[in-house]
Amino acid sequence: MQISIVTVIDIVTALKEGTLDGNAYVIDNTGPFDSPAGPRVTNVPGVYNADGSQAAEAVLNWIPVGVGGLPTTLPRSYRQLFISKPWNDRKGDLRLRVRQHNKVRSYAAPLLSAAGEVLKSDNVAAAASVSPVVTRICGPAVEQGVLYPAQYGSPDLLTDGWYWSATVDTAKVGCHDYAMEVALYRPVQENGDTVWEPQFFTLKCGLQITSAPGVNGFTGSFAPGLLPVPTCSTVAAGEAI
Amino acid sequence: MPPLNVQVFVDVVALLLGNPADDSVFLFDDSFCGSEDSGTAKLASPVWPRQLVRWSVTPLDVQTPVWLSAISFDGLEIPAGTNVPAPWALHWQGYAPCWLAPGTRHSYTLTLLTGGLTGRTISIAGPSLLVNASTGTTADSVPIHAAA
Repeated sequence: MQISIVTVIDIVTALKEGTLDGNAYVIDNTGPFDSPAGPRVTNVPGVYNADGSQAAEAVLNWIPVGVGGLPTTLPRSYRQLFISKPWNDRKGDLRLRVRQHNKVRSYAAPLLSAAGEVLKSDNVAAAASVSPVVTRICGPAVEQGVLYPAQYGSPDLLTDGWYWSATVDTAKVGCHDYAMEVALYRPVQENGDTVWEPQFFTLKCGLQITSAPGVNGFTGSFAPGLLPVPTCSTVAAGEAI
Repeated sequence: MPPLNVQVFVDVVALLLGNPADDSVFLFDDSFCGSEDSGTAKLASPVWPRQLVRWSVTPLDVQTPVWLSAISFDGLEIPAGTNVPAPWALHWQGYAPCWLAPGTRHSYTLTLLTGGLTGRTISIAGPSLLVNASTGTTADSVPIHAAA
């Protein structure tokens, strides 16, 4: 089961207050499975076989978004419209310069507001539109082997082509804490240029793992039985094979 | 006798938007003796009496969960279950009864439960099992005789 964990961040306020507490909201697509165990807690429904082994996998995917960012439903190709070579030649000064790993790199696409307008890279008010980036998933759930995070390839330009995902050991039923490290970007002046530097925040989150026996839908038990085809079935004969 | 696996691929978004099942549900099986209408919601799968048949469902978009919540044969009404486990904990498999008459067709209805906000159930009628004329003469059940 693929579980999406969307972290919605009020970037401007978080940068101003220096904390994600009260400025970040975690929502996911597990609402229909169970009532939420608490704020920033994600339900992870597990299934086990008769021998106790895990019967279905649970995969978590983290998607950070800014309240003032572009809608995530927007096709990635929308940004690609702005990175064609002629556009870069004319608008090179609009490209965001971002510090990553002590190096300043140009963001391949221009910064776009939630309305899809191109923002100047030195516009300090554009902070709300610079996508937040999950930089690490850590904490007790990882250390105790409940959560196995890894980075996977992504077409997202700002994240350098990676996103965080994880598999879950659903045999470890109960509530487990983990931390999501997120980078938000703030503009700083450097030799007359505007460089966007990451500022790192930690958000404490949790997983509520439950596990149910994987039973046969026909028999209600682990073992299969006969298919419930009516014995008096006088269905129209099909062609013999 | 190897089991018969029936894979149901579902375009959940299309179904929720009201598209017909014919355009949104795609069934395949791994029968080695030929199926009819493979890749459609009208898949007819050849089956032998006593053969294990397994169904599994996969959403085309992995972020939109869907589960099989019931399979009913020949219009047989599904009894309302009590203490029904969570749909994601159900698996669907069973042995074709030995009393199935060769050459007969047994249509079945899949009930899909979507994981959207509404948790809608959608019935897909159309696929069927076709009982093979000869029983149990599969490749791995034919006796091997020593060469003369």
